[in-house]
Amino acid sequence: MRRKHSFIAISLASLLMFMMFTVPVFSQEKVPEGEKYGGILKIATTGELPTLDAYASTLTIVQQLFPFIAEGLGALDKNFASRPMLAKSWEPNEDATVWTIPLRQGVLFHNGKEMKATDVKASIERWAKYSVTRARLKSLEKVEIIDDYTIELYFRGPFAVLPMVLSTPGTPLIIMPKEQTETTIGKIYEPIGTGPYKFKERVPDQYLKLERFNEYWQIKNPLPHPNSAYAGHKIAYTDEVWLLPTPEVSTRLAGLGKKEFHIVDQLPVGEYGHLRDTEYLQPSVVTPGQMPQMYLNKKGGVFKNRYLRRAVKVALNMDQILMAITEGKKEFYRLDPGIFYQEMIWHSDVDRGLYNVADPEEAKRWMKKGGYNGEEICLMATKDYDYIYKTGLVVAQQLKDVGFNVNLRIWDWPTLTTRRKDPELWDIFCTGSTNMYDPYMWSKHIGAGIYPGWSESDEMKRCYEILGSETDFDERYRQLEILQFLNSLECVMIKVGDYFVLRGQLKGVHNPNAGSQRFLALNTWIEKEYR
Amino acid sequence: MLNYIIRRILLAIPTLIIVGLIVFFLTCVVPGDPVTTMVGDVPLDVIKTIRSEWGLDQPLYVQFPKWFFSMIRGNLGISTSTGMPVKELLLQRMPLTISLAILTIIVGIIIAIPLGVISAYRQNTIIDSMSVILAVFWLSVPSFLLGFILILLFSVYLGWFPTSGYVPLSSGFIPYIKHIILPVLALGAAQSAQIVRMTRTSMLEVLRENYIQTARAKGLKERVVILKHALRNALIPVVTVIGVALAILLGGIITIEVVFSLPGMGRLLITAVQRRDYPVIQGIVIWISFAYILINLIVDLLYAKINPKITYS
Repeated sequence: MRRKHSFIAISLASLLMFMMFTVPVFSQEKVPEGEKYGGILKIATTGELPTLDAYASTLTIVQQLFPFIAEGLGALDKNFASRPMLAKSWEPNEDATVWTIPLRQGVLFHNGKEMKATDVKASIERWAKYSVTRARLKSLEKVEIIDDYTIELYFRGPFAVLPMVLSTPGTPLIIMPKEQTETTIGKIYEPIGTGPYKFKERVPDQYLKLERFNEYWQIKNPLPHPNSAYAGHKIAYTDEVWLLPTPEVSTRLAGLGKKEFHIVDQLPVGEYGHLRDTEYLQPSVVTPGQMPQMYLNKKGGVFKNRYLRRAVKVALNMDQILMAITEGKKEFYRLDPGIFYQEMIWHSDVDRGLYNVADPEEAKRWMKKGGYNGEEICLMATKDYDYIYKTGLVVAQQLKDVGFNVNLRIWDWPTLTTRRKDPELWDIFCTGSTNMYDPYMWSKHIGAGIYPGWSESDEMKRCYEILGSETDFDERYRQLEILQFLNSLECVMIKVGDYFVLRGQLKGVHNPNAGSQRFLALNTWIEKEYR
Repeated sequence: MLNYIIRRILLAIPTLIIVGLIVFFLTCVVPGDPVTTMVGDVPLDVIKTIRSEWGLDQPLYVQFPKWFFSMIRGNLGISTSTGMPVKELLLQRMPLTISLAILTIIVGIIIAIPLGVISAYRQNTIIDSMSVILAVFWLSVPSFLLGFILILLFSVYLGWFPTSGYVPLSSGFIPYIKHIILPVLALGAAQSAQIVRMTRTSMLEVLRENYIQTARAKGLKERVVILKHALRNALIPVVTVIGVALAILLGGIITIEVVFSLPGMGRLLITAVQRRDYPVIQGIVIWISFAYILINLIVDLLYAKINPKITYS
């Protein structure tokens, strides 16, 4: 009996000791709310960067890198407003033909050199001459250096949109050392900027590592306003950031589930429920995400005929297309005609009556009026971007249903971009865009006759002239509405709608920009590391 | 034998020339311009400058000999998308691709040859039936699908292995094995299935031969009859299959590399094609050709080793 009691006592004591040492492990850890420094932030991206030259690409994947390492004279905040960054301010003269920009002092590049006016002038000139979106500064006449920390930009005519051009994250006008500006476009392999992180190491298809820049200018002179998207006070909380190209979406998802990545971009929208219901995972829906579109060839083929272009526009059921893109998840898309997202001050639905008509009978009437005789329509899409591929599939079927003789050609992206330059080789191509931040930025794509599709009209060109020079918001908005309506009438660029991107992250990661535009992980810290 | 080896090496040269010619001209006629693919819609004068820097403005009959003689001297050019020497890029990828290929073949051999032998020896038994069914099954399952299943089971649910990525051997044996084992299993399944089938078929043929009956009649142990007399004679076609498999693996398996995010030759090739990075495409194809030539030579030499009746004079 005594032996039995001893046994029970020892067992209870052992159990008690076990609980003392293990219960804290099994119970929920209380993580203090507050900033935390240290660690390596691991971000799974959708693939390898095609270039490390910010001026040479419009691809979103390239722009994922640059907010970490580089800055421009301005930056966009979460409301898409321009805020000075490396510029202290910007002041136009009376007619906005000359802009004076005082620069921040004591800003160091990653190579230790201080940023001065010569670097800024060289960067602007390189961008204005060679970047893929250089058309935005086509009226720039010259850049003059006033002193080491002041420059002036001279334009051939009034140019009201300079702050937006200096701030846009798409093909950003980042400031680099003068020596690096002498590199041929597309041939920068180790970018040097002024950002909170600097380039450390890259092995293509494996990783791109960034490390904290300990001489970042905002450590000593922080901006007074807190971080808001790309603008404001930026802090490098983690020691390093690793961008890990993981092209296979299932692998990205598995890696997130296994806590190998902290943040993962572009997950299938069908995984939203799983992310939400998993204790340690957190989904974020990026709104706005992408804007699928298509362009009709106004220069060659059957769509020189505006009645046939109208037939295409009224035939399309945008709801069906967006459902295909988002796997039927209605919460991941919205029907909207605006060439700006609803979150932006420039949004307008002035052409809602011409959007998503989805009337096959009306389409047939326009086809008859246009004298369509069964000519083959070459519709180009690509599998390189899933949403473009799905758009092409659904559009092809919808147009076939109304009687168009559609030949759907799937090319890889480089082939598609080459072929679309030749008006003899296609009739419709599918594409997409992320954000335009100002109506003036649409000038390359619609109305000026530059971009494949060759949308051109004197009325739209007139709109751009005003948009480029007018500073009054109400007048600019009026021009934007005219532009958008004219575009809808012309039926060269046809917008499908808006769809949203699903990202995922671990709950232990504090990312203030989780649901914001593009892919931002600035000012992110790791609160809790999972083992 | 030495003469034979030298002759084969010399014969490899015209083979490489022809392969080089074909790949060079094929990459030039594929649609998509490498310059605009890399730098986008830049001014025409910039495009002309870059094309001139890359030698793309010269006629093909000038470009090809320049490229070929550089290649012979070991200079494969510069990658247009990364700016790195192509040789350096290939050398970066080779450890992973070679180790993946070799480990896959080793796993395949370890599983498949014993199983093939047993299956043939025990023909029409349950072991034989199971091995045939399994072989057909593993041959039918795409390796990338198997890869997903392995990730789900061993990485996500069991947590034994990482889901993706690669750690070189120099960073530690355990991390290296942990990262490479799942891709090896995913690839090894199909390879072992092929080897099993070939081993079984070959063994069945050999086991029917008179000399096997003679060996048994002489009183030799069954193990000696099977392993020394039968297997050795059955190995010729098996070695051929292994050689072909190894050569294919050395070219990189794109699907597995994408699934497991491995920085191997396959991914390098597909990225180079997407970016129209001609020097890299040409470099990889030459490497694959070289691998095939080398493997074929080794296989031929192994024939002579396995079967003394085969001689090369």
